[in-house]
Amino acid sequence: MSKVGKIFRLGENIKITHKNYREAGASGLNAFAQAYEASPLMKVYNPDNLGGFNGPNSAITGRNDRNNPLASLVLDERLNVENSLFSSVYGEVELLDGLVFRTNLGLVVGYKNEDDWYPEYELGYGRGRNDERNEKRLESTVKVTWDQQLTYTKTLGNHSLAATAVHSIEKTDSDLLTPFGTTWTQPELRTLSHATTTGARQIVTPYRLESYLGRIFYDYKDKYLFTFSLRRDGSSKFGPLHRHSIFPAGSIGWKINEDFFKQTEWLDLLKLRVGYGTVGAEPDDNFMYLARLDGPAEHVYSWKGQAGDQKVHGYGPFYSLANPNLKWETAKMINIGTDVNAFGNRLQFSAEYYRKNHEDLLVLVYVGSEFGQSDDAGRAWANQGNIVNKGMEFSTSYKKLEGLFNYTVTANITTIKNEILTLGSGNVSYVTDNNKNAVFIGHTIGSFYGLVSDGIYQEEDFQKDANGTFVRNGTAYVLKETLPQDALGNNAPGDIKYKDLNKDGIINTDDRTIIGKPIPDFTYGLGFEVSYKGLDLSAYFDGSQNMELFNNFARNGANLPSGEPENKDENKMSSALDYWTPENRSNTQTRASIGDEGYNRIESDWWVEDASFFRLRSLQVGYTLPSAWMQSVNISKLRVFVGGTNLFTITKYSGYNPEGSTANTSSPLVIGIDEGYYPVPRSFNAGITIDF
Amino acid sequence: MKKNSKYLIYLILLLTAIGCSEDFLELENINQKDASTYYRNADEAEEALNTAYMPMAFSQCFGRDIQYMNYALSDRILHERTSDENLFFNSSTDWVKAVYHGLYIGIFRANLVLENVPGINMDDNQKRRILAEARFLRGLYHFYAATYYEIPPLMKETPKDPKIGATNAVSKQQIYQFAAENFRNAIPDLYSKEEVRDADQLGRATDVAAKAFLGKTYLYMQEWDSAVAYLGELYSSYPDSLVMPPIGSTDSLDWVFAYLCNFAKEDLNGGTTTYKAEYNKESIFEVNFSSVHSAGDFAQFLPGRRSTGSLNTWYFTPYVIKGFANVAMEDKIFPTTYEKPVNHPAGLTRDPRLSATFMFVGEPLDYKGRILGNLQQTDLNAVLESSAALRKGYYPFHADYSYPSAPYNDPNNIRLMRFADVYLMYAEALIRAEGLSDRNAFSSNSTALEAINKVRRRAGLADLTQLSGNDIIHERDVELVGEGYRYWDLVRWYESGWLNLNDVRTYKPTFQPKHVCVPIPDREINLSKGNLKQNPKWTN
Repeated sequence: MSKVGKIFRLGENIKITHKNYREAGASGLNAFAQAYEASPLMKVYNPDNLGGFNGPNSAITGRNDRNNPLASLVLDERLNVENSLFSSVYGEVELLDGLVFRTNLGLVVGYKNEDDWYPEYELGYGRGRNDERNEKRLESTVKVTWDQQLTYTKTLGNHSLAATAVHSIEKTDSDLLTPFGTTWTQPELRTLSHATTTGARQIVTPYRLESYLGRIFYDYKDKYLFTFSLRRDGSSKFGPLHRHSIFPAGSIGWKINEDFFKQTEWLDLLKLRVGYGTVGAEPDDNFMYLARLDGPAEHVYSWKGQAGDQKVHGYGPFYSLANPNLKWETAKMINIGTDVNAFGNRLQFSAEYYRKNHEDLLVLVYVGSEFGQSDDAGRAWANQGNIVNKGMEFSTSYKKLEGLFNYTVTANITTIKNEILTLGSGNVSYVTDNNKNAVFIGHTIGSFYGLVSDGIYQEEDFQKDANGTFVRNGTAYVLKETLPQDALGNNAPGDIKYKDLNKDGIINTDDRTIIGKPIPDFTYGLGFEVSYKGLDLSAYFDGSQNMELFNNFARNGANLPSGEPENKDENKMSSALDYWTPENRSNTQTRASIGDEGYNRIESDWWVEDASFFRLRSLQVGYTLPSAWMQSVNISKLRVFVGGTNLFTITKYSGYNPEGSTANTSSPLVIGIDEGYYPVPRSFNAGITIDF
Repeated sequence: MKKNSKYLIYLILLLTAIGCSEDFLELENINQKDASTYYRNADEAEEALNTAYMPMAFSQCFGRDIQYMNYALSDRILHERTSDENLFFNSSTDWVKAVYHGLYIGIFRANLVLENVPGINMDDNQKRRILAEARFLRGLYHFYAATYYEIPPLMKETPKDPKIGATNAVSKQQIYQFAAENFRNAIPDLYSKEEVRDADQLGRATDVAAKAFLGKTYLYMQEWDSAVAYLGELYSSYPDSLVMPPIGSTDSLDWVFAYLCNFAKEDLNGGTTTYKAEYNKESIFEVNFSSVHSAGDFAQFLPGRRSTGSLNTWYFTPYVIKGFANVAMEDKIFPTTYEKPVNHPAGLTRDPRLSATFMFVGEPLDYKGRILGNLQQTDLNAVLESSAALRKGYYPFHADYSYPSAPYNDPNNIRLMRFADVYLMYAEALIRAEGLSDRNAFSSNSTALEAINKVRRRAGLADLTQLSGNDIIHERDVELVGEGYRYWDLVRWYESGWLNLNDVRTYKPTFQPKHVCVPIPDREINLSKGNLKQNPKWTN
């Protein structure tokens, strides 16, 4: 910062970064899950195949046709280069005493270049990649921001006032260019110019945001504190009718200890605060208010003519449906809290009640096929209903930082209650298109929906004729008449039995109910830092309680001893060896069957598991050498340490990670589905820190 | 102070100046077209119509996923998906969802044409032809939707409000009725077979296609008299529309190729003559696949979207020609059902259709014996335990003719309607109209006999002199295997009384009454927010 004259100030800030790294090859699907599900009989390598890898082969691996994920992980070359520049300059001028005008111009330039080479390789038996391919992904983003800010501060006796007016604009333009080429005839000439076929696609994404903000701080004797602000945001992501919205906020604070308890020496702070705020949210995507048609590259067909097939094209409905009524989501928050500091600020404690009400929630709503959207899942951004998050937050810490023996202990706990209050027009509860997450009024967002299991059908549950042989209807076994009849699959002893919740005598999808929720009742954390002389130790624990995950990885076959319609015959978890047989009357494992005849895969609580956990997030032990030893070598501090992360997790969850296993989706309605993602790595580290 | 207030005024002016107008937030989308300013001229009308044809080619439809309806459910073809072979599909099975999705995209796009093109100022004949083709497609997609899903939504127009989901049709008949109405109304304005050839745009719907599907729809509705009327009209206008070997030919390849050309991409050179493949005289309607636009692997270039080819040969051909060998022929019972011709003109000891349909281990992959050698057992999917691959539809194989992107983007057309089918449907409709509700009873209806005998003569088989339901069932089985009709024929005969539950179970042992249709996908039920209901056959 430099001062120009008496009243001008100028400043600038600049940061540049350069990154160069290689990504793992693209195996198409989740390589971890693929490796898990692949046949153990599959030979991984075969030097006779181009590339040196082998694939599944029905003569050896039977019906298990899971691919060899190692081939593309190893052979693909995915190189990334990222360059970025963050810079800003500002000028400030003091116009009057206490009145400051500041203007800030920011520039962010990002450039990302992915260069992905997918070589030709063979896995045998019709598998592999038959064309060498290079895909580039050149993404540039230029973001310009310009803020004008006028601030007036004034202190008069016990009154102090700060008033701010801001106008800001943001202009962001992204340009994504994805050129590609296939098949090179000259091995040393590796540019797209030498590819046999080339093509390119481009998407440009502009975005504009304009905001006005007014804000007033006022306090009396630094004891009564008031804030009020009002902002008006306008975004290009909304249609002309709904671009702008106004968001007020305000808070008051009272340092009670300055009016009362003045004589209480151990009390340093007792503060009560009440706040109310509104914040806007925009959809992720642009132009969602327009009815868009894409083409022509996406929509091709051909007619046959005298000269052969003639390509024709068209412009077809985009995968996202227009919503001209799309508007800002508003989150309205109320916080009531108290902060207490005591014993010379060694003890800190705060408690807060919060309630955050999301109104006109912006969600990606999937629509039925009859809306003709051309992706696998047609969708539209919509403002759909209101949800509330409320609960209490407590945090406390105690520090002793004097003397040879120092320590800090911190603890926090947050309770969460999430509830869907209303669901927009029609106000109808529904199940999302994955058939697992429910959007039900009065329930937690993302709650799981399905049947309730009731153990396993045993032989006694089925009818036998006079000769003692089972009565069959086609291939299906017939349940005893006294039992509710299962309309879902061709049941046999060893299949999952479900409860007839609506008591209509038939077990079908009408018997589904809420069977779990992916949001915990409370989360908590514990931290310790201890040091004695040069030795130090720190440990952080955290956990979540009373939440469930839908273990779709297990449902998709890793845990079920029967072939799956969608997943063929993958490798199973060893627990599947204990499958049901007449001699092994398990109530926890189903029978082995070809195909899923008994429909055991239907969404039910069989696949929903308690995912509460307690985890040692990190642990570190260090030793700082006495500074006296170091002075001779001009080192001010030398610390050696060993540590680790994720050293242990206590959970009943059978999957690999009880937290963060979400389906890959941008919809907040689809959560808590474990698709078998990578486990959280346990890492150990050791190091030396030297200060000169 | 005076000087400072001047700054203040400047600043207020500056702030006002950059207090941007609405234009700042108004952006132009240069990535996609805006539907509200589209559909303005004849070219855009044609483009909109093109997009309505495309869903037929989608991987969700005939580009790939129809294989489960077509092959996995059929008792004559073995598919590696055992669960589907055994009819263990349900409302969340992937292809049950996919085919539905593909068909309804087609319906939506046909409706877009019918809603937007009438207002365009353009040549009236062209406009009427475009609207007629859209009607044909709307009828076609609805026909398949009703056949497979029984009571899915009937969509007479595009839905407007995403918050209101679709509701079930009242009945399968209601959808068929609507499909029939669309076919009938399309007939006068569609190209004739000759006109579409003159326009050099084979692949478009013709009046013959509309009449054939109209007759088929009535057959599926069991409205025998109407089926007789429309199929009969077509039969009398086109009495000799099967591809035949030259009269008196004694070359066995003539007899095989006269039939096999109906499924090939390229014309077949027989012993004495060349057999035209796509759009030959027997062809009525085809999904036009081609290799004019295709590159890369299938994940990025799906049929109908960025590719004009299908994924079919990739899935179905043996390993030796880079296929996945997902299917094989049922080789134990089905081959024995073919008649052994006596006094075959070319001296064949087996029905030439058997040779054209099956490729047994040890037999040449290519009848001309040029490149490919003989089929080995290791070229087939071991788990299917069959020694025969499906030749029909995938001959000659892509290794033999040069489509660089094949088999990943297969240019071979799928024939949705040909005259042999029309003749057999006509014979069936005639004897049902006579009241032949017992398949073992015989008719001597001479028109019906002549219709079925035309099909038999092409194979070199002797004429039938009386005709039963069993004869129709058998002839459709061997003539049309692998063309997507078999399972739905069994269902049709079960529903119309020719077959009872046990009869069907001799072919599909796991068949239950609910298997007359596939369930409504639960994805669609969920997305309809309670409006669309599951078929009661699948909930009780």
